[in-house]
Amino acid sequence: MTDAKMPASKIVSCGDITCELLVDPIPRPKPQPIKITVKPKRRRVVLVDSHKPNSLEILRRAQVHFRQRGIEVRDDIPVKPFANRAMPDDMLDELAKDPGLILCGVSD
Amino acid sequence: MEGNWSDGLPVIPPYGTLVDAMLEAIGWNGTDLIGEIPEQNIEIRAEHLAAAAVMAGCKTEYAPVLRTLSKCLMDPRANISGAEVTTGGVGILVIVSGPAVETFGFEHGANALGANCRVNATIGRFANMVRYFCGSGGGTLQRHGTIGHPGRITFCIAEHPTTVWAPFHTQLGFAPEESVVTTISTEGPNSVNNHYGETGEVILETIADCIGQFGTTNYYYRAGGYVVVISPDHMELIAQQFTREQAHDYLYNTARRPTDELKRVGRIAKNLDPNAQVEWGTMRSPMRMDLRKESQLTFIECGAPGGRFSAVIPHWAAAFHTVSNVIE
Repeated sequence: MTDAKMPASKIVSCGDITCELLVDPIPRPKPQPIKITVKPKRRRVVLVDSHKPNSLEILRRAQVHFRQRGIEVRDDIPVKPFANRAMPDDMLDELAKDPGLILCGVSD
Repeated sequence: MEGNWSDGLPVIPPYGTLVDAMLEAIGWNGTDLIGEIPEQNIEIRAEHLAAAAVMAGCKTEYAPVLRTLSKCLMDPRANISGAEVTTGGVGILVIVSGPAVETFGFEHGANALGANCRVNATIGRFANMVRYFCGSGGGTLQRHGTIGHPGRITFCIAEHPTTVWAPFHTQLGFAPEESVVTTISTEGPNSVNNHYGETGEVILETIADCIGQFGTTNYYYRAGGYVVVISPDHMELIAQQFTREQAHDYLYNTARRPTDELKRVGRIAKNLDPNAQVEWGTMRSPMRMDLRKESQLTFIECGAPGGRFSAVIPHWAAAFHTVSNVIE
């Protein structure tokens, strides 16, 4: 995978013709995007199925591998209703309360 | 380019003076809220879209098309963010049909699916720039397209102003005399060649084979669909035998593969999702016409005479909707 560069938030043209602030074509999140906690309160992993093809099967195998390494993994794997839609608010709220590390999505 | 304000090609710099002229032509104020992606806290303002139109190389004269196209793109059903990040690597296909094709000078003949014509190229580029600029959470989301296709840069098709069947947009409930912009998230076009077929039926059979090929993504969810592009020479044969409705039914019934064969090559999962609705021993369609969405299989007439090529454009497998609006 190539490293994606974040688009600049402001660009000023200083070419031969003009020196003018360019209008930003990219809407930015307001407020800032959700912060991801990478150090969970509890050493436990919760896997969430993105509903992509084969995702559930891959996650079940991942569950086994985690456990073989002594990492606690929640038994049930919540499933997003649609792969191409954002997670419903109630599901997001429920997962946000979990003190473990949430890992969502497998791209097949 | 270094600031990542580009789709990869050089752009017209969005100088304030150029963007202001575009805003005025479209009839927007710069801060007007045109669309939102609430789950990403993204608000898309008029100046974002006008800047993209300038950068894509659109003329201010295209304003009526840009206003209508923006309305399509900002419709939540268009799901531009999903199209931007999906493994499917889809682009936004823009279809223009009706009298506007001639009014704005869209190419609808030679190389209709990739016309070297400014209005086609820049309108298609604008749509895909908006997907690219606005669908990635301000640059915070990763793009996962596995292979993508060239239509992610620009993809605009204009229908012949005079058609054998009724205009494209009549399949979507619009009146024949209207001019309509339609957007669909799609994969790239698959060429369908048949130079020696002598009947409309064998031409449609060839098209059906392309729709139902093993590799078509739609065997996953079967909620996507297809745009069938018919060239004049093929249309001449098909129209002798089929109305548009008959051709629709013929393709739906013929574009199928046996479920056992689909399982053998891995197109049906071993561990079946309960929603997969597989009936073993039957012929499976990549389309779920029980949804009976007319937009799942549509026909468009374009291209030049003198060659026997048509095309099949698969919708994104997760695109449940086409979005259309009238150009006013």
